[in-house]
Amino acid sequence: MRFDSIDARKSLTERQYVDTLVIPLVELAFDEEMVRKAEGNEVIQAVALETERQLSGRTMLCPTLSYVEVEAGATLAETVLEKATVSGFSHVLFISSDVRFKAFDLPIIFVPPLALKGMSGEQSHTMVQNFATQVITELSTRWMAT
Amino acid sequence: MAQKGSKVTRRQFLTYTLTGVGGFMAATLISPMVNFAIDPVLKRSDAGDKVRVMSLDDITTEPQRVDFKKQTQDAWYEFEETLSAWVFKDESGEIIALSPICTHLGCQVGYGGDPTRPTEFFCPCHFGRYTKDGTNIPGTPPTAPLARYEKEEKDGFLYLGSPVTQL
Repeated sequence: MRFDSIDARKSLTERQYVDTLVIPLVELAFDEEMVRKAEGNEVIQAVALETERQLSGRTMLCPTLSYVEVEAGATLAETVLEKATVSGFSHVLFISSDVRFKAFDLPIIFVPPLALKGMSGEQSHTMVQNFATQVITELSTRWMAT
Repeated sequence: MAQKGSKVTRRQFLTYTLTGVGGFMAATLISPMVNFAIDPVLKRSDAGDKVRVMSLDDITTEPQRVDFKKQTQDAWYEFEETLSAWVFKDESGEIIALSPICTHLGCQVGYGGDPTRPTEFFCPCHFGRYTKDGTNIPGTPPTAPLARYEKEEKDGFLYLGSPVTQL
């Protein structure tokens, strides 16, 4: 499900079924680092969309959280995690390409910032599929455990 | 006595000519109108909607997942939609292309997704199950079988259209 009015309404009425939130976590930069951050963003968005496509019946894709400083990003992520959990999302998973988050206690899956645009259509498709499968496997494992 | 042709009088000749010319003019006006009027019908019958997904040689009795892109129109907004299908041959050798969209809440099912049941389709979201031919297994959340794609075999390739709900 997406974060739009139709799906939001559905997710509220079907909360016992839609209990999982996937949140892209993207670092911003506006200097020379911008290209690298944009590449990270591309992979994260593609993986997040594919995950949502395959698991739309139980998963809501949250709009992207972006940050400039990693601490501020972590604080924001923690706040969102807490709010979502209180509102009944029992499974929350962030997707990020920033390994500095490993220092924080957040449920994150890391994807590398790859230049998808530099690959052939088939290559990038396979790549995104692989990462999405990792995310889906992680979520399935969590669902199975409950 | 003159030839037979001379039996056409000047008046008849003029009538024929004018009717003929008039007919042409009317046709020029009407044929595009007819075309416009029945245009929706013409468009729908244009079955070029099917997308080539895989070579027939690659299809086995083991379901394989294929992803393909299709142009879709939502009102005036046209976009490329990514679709998936599970393709295999059944015992009689007929090709079956199942839509992976779970009929419960729309997650995508996987063949052998539950390792303890390797010959079933399994939905990871709410543990819905389907047999290999897409029939939902009673007692699990889905209430309808998986949809099947419209299919066409042409020039050694499999072409898929839209998924059709099974009852």
